[in-house]
Amino acid sequence: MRSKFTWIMTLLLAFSFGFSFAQEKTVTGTVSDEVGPLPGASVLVKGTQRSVQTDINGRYSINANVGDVLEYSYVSYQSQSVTVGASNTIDVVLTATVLDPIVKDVYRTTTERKSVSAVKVLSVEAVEDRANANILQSLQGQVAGLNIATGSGQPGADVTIILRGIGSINGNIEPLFVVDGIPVDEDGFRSINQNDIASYQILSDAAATSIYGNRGANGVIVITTKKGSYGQKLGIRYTSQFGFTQLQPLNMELMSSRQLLYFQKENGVGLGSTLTDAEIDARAAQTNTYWADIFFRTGVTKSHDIAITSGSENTNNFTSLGYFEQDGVFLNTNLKRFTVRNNFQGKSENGKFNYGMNLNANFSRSSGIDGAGSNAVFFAPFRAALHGLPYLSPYNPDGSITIDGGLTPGDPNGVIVDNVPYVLLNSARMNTDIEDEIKILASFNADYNFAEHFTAAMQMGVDFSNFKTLEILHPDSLLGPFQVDQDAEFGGIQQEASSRDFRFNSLFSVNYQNTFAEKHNVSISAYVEYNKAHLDGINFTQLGLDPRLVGSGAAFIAGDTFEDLDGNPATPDTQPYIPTVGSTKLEEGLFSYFGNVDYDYDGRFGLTATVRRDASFRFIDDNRWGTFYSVGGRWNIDTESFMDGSSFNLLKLRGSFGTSGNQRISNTQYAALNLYRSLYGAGGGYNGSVSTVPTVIGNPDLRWEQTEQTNIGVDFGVWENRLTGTVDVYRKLTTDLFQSTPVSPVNATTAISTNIGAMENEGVELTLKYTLYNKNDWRIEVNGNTSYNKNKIRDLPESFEGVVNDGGSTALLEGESFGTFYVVRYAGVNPSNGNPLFYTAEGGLTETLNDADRVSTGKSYIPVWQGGFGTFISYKRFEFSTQWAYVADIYRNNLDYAELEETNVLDDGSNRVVTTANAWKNPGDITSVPRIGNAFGAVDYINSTDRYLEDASYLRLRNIMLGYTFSPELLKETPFTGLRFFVQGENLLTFSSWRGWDAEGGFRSTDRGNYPTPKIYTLGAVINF
Amino acid sequence: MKNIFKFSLLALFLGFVSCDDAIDIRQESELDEEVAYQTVDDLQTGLNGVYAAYGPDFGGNGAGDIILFNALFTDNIKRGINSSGQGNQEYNFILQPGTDFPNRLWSNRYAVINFSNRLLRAWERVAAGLTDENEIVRANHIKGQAIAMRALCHFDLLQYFSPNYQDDNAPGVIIMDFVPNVTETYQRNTTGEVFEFIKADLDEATGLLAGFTNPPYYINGDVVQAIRTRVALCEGDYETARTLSTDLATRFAPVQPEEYFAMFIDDATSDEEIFTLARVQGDNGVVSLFYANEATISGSPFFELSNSLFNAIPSGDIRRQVLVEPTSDISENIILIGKYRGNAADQQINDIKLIRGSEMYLIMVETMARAGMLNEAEQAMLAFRQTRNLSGTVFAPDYPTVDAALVDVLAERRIELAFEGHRYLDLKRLGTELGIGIDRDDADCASFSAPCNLPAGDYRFTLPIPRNEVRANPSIQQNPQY
Repeated sequence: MRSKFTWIMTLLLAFSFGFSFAQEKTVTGTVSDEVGPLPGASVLVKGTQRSVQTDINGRYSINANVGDVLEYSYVSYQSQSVTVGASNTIDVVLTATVLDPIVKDVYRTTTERKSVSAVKVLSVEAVEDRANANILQSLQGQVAGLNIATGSGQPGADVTIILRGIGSINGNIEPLFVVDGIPVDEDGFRSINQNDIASYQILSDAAATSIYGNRGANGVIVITTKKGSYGQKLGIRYTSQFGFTQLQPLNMELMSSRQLLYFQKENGVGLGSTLTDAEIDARAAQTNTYWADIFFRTGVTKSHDIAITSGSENTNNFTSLGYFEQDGVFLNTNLKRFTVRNNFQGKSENGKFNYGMNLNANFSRSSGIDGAGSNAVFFAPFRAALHGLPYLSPYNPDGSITIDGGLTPGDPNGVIVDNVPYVLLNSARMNTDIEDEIKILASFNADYNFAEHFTAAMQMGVDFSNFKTLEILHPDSLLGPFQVDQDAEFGGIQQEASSRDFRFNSLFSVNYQNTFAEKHNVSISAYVEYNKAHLDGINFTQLGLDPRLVGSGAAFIAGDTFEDLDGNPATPDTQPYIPTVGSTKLEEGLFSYFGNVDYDYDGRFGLTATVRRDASFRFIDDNRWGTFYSVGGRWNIDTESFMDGSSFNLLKLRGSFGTSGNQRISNTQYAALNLYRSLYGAGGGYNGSVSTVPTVIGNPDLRWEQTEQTNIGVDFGVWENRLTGTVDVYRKLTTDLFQSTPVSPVNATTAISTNIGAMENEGVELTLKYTLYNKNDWRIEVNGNTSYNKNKIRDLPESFEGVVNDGGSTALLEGESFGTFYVVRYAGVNPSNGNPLFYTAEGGLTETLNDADRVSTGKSYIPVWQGGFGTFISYKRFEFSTQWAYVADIYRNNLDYAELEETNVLDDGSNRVVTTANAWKNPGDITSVPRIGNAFGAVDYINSTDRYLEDASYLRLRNIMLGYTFSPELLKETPFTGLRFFVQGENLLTFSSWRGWDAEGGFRSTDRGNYPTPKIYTLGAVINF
Repeated sequence: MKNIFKFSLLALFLGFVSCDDAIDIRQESELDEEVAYQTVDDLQTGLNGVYAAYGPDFGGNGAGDIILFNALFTDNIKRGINSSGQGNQEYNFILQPGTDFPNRLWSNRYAVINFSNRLLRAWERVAAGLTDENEIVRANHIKGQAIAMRALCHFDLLQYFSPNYQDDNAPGVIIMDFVPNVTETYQRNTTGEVFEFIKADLDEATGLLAGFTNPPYYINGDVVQAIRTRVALCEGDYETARTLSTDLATRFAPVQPEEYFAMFIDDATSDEEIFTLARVQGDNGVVSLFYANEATISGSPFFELSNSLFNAIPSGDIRRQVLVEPTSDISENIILIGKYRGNAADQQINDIKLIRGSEMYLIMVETMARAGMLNEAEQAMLAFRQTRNLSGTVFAPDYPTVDAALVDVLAERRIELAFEGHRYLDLKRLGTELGIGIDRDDADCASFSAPCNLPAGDYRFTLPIPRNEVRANPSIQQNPQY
């Protein structure tokens, strides 16, 4: 009886303790530093997944039990832990210079101290308020191993991102992007408002990416947007920027009118050959056009953003409105964007149930211009701006800038190469090229702590894009009358396309979390994930527009109109205006289930393991499912007793190994959808009738491309964290590469997609940050990162015998990097006859270009070195920062320069660089420019030789900023709680030997007539209410 | 208990997520063979695909199938005023496994053969279920055309890739009478085997096509007979060639100048056409083989008619009016190619007259001479030239020997069949026999800075097995000297 009583008493006691422990309350407070409140700081209930961020005024509100430990953290501040006691208010003052932010991916939340994986967190401050239209552009040079290339100056243009090297030859190479838990289209970032973003995290190693198995092979970039906090007052933040965009300087010397005309005269071609010296002098004195001044301009950029945060006891809210407008530096190019976001979070009274909804709707309109990189000179606007003949006048007789050069639309004699700048100027001014995007990102998440230690969670997300393009080639433009038929009454073309891209993602999970014997923390999770994507679209092309009504459907000339095009009444009339129409409907899908175990021993050791099974609709039978796994571990050496008294605040050794998969056989979305099935379709008809032809020769052996990665890393902080850093060493091996393998043409095709071969990436990444000085109101910080990545193709399909070259300048070469130039070496000019000389494969000299003499140059258009560095200086309320980015060991063919130094033909409507005048003339001349009329043109040199293969390395001042924040005392009498002004510039300085406007050419092998990225200057203000 | 309930609820919830619709995806546009071919009408669409894929006129901007190659590699073309170097390699007699033309020819003809074999495979399934007599006849006509197209393609390939088609043991091409497995590769059959296969196909086609008359855009019994005539001529079976060609030359007799002109320039139907490939708006434009735009001096011609061909055409001959485009500036040596000038529907499109009665007529003349009927041959050739003559006197043939007759036939074929895909093959077949190689006018070869001569019997009168086959099939036998 007695013992039974004791037992019951004990149980009751335990319950009552449990009860008191489980008694949850809302803790509120402020997180600040010495200067003031810290917005965006994280508060985490230790051992749970519950975390919140502070609002603009540094306030937070979180549910916690008495006895729970709250971890406060903020990028580049020392974390603090406070145990919840009786008080409902906990104010925390964080000390700067410790790197221990929250690491949160879709699936797991942990602190950086406990993270076992190679995850780099980019503080939003580093990129906040930058003036780039595409948020990803601002990340350039900020993260070791993250290689970002902008190949276009069109505001909002897509960027290409490679993390730790090219991982696939034909398949997808870009990382997976996750915004607030939803995987999103990696190409659709121009519509997202930079000011909404709270943090970027870059996941590189297998331990971090394996949990994203089916799409994580190229790394993962997790973007989190801003949120409100519970129990906060209404806060309003207004940000505005205004500024200018400007063309970067041209690093080459073009001929002037005089130089070109005399050069022409000397060689007996072109206008110069028909003029006397006096006439040339007169012409040159009158006209010396630098066409870039006509085609490019100073653009205006401006933005306005309002963010409102509020929170009650159980709900909080972040709402933002944004407007952004930026002119491109080229005529008639522009981006306008309107964004709305609402992030809502709520919870139950006891905090066991949490839910949230993020809704983001964006509209952007990009007015652009086609023809970047085109070889069709009448449709290549940027080429015209560089190549246009200087002796053509851009002015009308009345002094205004011409829009047609006095040419008549429809006159075939007007459309000649000499008039290219007039034609392009006319097209740029008269034609329309608009892309509208409506992008909606919506996600819902909820978690329920339904039993002790167990939490169930769900998440659903939608990435919806409506994309509409409108292109009008005006019937009254110089090229307009040629579009239908030279003899047709009406010209012009209007093309429209509209598509809807709907991507749905859902994730259900159950998590078990417990601590045993106080030191053993275990977290086990199981997940089911479902992905589905739908694309449908329609398009039409209307031939023939009524010039009076251009822009509307009313301009369309009816398709059943008959005209007598051949001027022969005997033959039947024809119907030239029949429009073409199209419609697409495509689907994609993925299904996965996976599990994850995290184990932590007393904050000293940690292990994580993930296993997952993924199914892709792209494969069949046994090949459909792929299994991927990873294991990772850490050792927090600084917690060991032998480290007592050392200057290390943090010293952590990490290691991981694992695999992840790639199922995107082709790099583009919605492509290669059914390559395992043999299919038929309607083909080109015969005699006006429909035909049926085989369209796909199936390969049922297609399967997952697999990447395995080993990573070893060290995170450290010394001297009170004045110096912090991370070093990672990795090796990635991709096997079963998606590649096309030749098949005999008896199969009605010459190649099919297969899994064959292997490729390797090895590299080192280093990130350092050092506080140089932090006294007497001064603070000086420097930071830098660098990465080295060596790519190597290990195996190609056997039949290629180690070289896949289709006649272009690059080849896939076994043992060499992806994108290696495989060309004949240019040896210079033969002094005896002025012909170009090339080295044979054996090293001899020859005057003929022979494919057999191609050799590997060891130079690739994907950089080996990449990184950046920056400084941050603050004095009292002033701050000054610089951010530099560089890439090195990168090469590109300069076709612009090759064409400007062309001596094969001279009368091609293009200006020349002054060095062209050095062309060989007489036996014995020593020069680098072959004789006029030599057998090879610019494209020959580009495709087959290294004559114009240039080092495209650069060091660029990506951003420089000076800011001033007013003190709260000054603002006391105003309605403002905070006020900051800043001026900044993007791309102000570039050091590079590249000959052109912009050394940054994207990951292209050859540059010709591309849209250079601009310099941007802005003045901005941030006002808090 | 409560937890069990919660767990079951959770399990139920997870159960909602079904994976099948995410991974068993068939795009709406997908069509497999069973669905693609269900009726005779479906088979007809398959046959349309076979016809549409066959492209002796395909190409553009300096690269092309047999119509361009036969003119470019030989002596019928010079550089055009708006050339930017198109066709430079072929004109320089550079012929390698990587050269465009052998790759193009090999893949195009084998694609047509593959399409035919797929159609024939589906045909077996569909035809087995047919009961209606008319449907069965239609189905047989479809099969006959498919088999004839397969034979025609094998014959095209054999002429270009067999180093000696009068030697049965010489390497021929791969016989494909089935749908191959993509992982397999195949070796070349001998020339004799390929000829036997072609003749068997043509015989079968003749039987199946009984009662099918649909000239000239589809293959009927006459077309099969014309192909059979070419085969016989090529094999050296001159008697068969003579019998067959005499019959065809009578029924499809060469037409008078006015009709001849209209046949080419206006795409008007002519009694001389045996087999013509229909080309309508949206198809490949044959004009783009020679011009960037329309076929006039302002249409950016990058190829022109050679001086040597121009000089060979008598001035009073209707063929001069057809071959030379009227905006040519002869005094400036700008001779534009005029055989294809676009039609009313499209400035770059013309029907392709693939087999004409006049070709059969010239085969008749040749085989008469070979049979020793030199007088008859002379008479026939004289009559032919008179048919083509508009004004002035006709150059009368004089055939003291068989060789003299053959030389004259070769010259006449050059004019009559210019830009129709014959010249290179004629020089391979007759030129080798007569010791006549490629001999360009100095002005022509200078226009390209190219060699002026290629001796008769040069190895380059046989194409190399192209790189796109060798890559997938490295053990295939290559032709001599490549």
